[in-house]
Amino acid sequence: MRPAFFISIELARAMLGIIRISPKFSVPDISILRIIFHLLLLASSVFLAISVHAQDSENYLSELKKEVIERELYMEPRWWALLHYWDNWFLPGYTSFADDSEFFLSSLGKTNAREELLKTIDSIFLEQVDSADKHSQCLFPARLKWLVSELNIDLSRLPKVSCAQYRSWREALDAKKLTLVFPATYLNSPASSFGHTFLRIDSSKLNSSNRPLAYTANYGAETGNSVGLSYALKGIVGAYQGTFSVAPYYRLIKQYNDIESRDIWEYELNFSEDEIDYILAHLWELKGRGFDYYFFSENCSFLLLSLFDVARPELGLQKKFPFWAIPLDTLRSVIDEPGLLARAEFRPSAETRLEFMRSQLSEGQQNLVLDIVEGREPVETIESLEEESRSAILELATDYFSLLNNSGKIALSPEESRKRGYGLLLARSKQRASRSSLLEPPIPKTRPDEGHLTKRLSIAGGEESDRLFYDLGIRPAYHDLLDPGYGRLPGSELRFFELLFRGYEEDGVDFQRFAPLTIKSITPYNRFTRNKSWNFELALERRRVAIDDHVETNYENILRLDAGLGVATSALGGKAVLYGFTQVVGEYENDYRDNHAVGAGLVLGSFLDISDDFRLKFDVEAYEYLFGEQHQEWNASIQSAYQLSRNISFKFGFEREEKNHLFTERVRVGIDYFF
Amino acid sequence: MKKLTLALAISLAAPNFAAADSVGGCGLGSKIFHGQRGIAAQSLAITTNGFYGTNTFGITSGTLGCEQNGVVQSNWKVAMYLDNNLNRFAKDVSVGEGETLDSLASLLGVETADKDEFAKALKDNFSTLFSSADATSQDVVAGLFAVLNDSNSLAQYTANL
Repeated sequence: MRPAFFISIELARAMLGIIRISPKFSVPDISILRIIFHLLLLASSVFLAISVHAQDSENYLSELKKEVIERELYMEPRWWALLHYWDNWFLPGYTSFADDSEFFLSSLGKTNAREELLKTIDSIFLEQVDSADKHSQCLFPARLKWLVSELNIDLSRLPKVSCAQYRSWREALDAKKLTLVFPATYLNSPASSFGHTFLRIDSSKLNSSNRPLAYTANYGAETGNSVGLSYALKGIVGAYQGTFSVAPYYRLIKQYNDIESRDIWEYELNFSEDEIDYILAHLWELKGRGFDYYFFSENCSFLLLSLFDVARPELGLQKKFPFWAIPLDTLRSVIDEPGLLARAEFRPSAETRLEFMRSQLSEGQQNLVLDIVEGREPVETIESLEEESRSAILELATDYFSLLNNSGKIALSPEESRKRGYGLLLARSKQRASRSSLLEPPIPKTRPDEGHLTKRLSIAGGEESDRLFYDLGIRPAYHDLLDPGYGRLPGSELRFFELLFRGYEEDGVDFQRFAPLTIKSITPYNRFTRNKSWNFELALERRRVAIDDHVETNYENILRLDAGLGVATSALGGKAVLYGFTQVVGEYENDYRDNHAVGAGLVLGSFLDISDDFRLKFDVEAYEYLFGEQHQEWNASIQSAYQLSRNISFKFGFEREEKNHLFTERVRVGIDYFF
Repeated sequence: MKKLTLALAISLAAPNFAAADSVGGCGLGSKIFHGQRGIAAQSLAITTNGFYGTNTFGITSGTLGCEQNGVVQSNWKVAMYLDNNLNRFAKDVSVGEGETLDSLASLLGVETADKDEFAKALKDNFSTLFSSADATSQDVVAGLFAVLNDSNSLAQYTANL
């Protein structure tokens, strides 16, 4: 580089010399020479500038890299959060969760934090790329932000890149506040008890009246059209690709509040301007980048935590969920951070709203709403009523019609349903009054996060057919009908991987029961919402069995699959719920005839809330096994639970079972502890 | 390693809780972030999306590209909003108030002083905005234009339609 510089200086001098020594040149010639001279001078100075600059930035880059290596910056928690590195299980080293090669600048980036960091420094200093928006400064603004502050990078030495796409995206989102949104249980589908979380990005233009216009960042999998078991299995083994998407909040309100009838809880977070900047910048980095999606572990909520970890690495939120990430737990981990929760707000689902508002109408008015919704009475019927009740009835009829229509519970052709819905709206628009005086549902006393914690440890003892026993049980998630009900939807039960060991006084401890999945949805039916109830259970259980002619009884492990459909109704002013199910059941056991027994059954039961803290539950079950090992089974039980505190509950129960003519009676007393 | 262990550990269960969400267990819209498609293409793609349609998007489905990087392009904001909220919006207009109505006012830049008049004008002209049971969001935009244009104080807000 240097020789080129000298040569150009020499040339310039020579030319100057020529001009001086040769006064005979005519004027025009001199001016040509001057132009040439100036051009050369310009060219040489540009050349000089580039070469000096190149030399200089090379020095600067190696200084920066030296500092990175000396300070081991690539081990900094923020860098790990930005790259989604996790320590490997069983093996040394670490790996990034990101499964998209474009997310890494170095080919070693997925497993080498240092190489990735050094390569990132090179990339952000690159002078030119094909298009400005593809420059690493634009693709990785959060990395850039961190490096600039951590290494104190001299901005004047950094190539100026405009990043038009990123800028306009950030301007459009105009993030001033962040809110963690939790759509809670899907009514009549306890499976959604797990909930979901996404991030809402609130701009400075938003206030309480135009909140639906906010944007959201939502992490989800692209599942295509597969359904059922293949969908579930693919989800478990990570066959789906998850990506972050940005979409207006009104779309998600419609999805969760209206279509799925889920209440939405909004938790506004106190992140600083700088932290919000990090979150948005990292969100941009993740845009369109694929992560293998795992329903249990690397799911929506888990990935969302990584954004918070980038903003505030000391939170270490993701590290708290090494095995599985239940949205409600991840929500708790965020808002339990001191000072992070600003406020919580509630957005009731269509069904919650309607049921609350319906309760304010008289029986006769409710009947009229239903008659109009179902087309038994024309809309004009309301004309004879007072204005105030006209408005209320029409509004409720409109909303019920939408609800029933959304859930496919009204059998009308699309034309007919549009016509009826339109008729209701038109009639309402002709009532002069604005909103009717029906009250909106209040915010529930207990937020979902304030309910009992997710994992449960059970210790119990009792007597089983004249033998004393003691139980030790553990359940990683989530809730059953006798658990403290605060913050949960009543009548929903979702249990995962329940494991129980039982010991008898004369024997040692033995496996008693393992139930990977139990679901119960007991939702009182009413003529408005028309919810069904259902249940499902898969369990391996050790039971006393008497088989064929064997006189002696034995404990055997029985694998059992049980599913039922039924109906429930509320009684005693909502204090009690009565339910009934018809069941199909299949059992697998080695000593059974043909190893199996398949049959049908009936379940009748009730739960009754004596007080907020005290619940009783009664069940009677009868099964007739018709195939394989033919036999009958009768069970009856009374269970009670008294909630001592948020996470401690006292249990007492009595059960009587008869299976294949073998009786078992059991009294059980125990304590459940949630943690 | 983590993934494999976990997948093995839980492969016994056939959980369907994740299936409760519409898209991959964690909600809606994952396709929207995927690409930056041209804006020009979808101007021809306006379809009819009326009342009580099932869960479909008409004018402005995310696949059509009125969004870039998930952000709604300004000339599509009202169309996209109405397309997604037609039932809620019609309900609010019929009543004369509500969050969906307020949000539209905010999208159109309606000043606080004009908000009551805006709501009243829409309610009074319900049948202009929603001329029939088959009204589409496109019809509603046209109706909005007519109603606002008819009012001295509200005509200015048609600029944002």
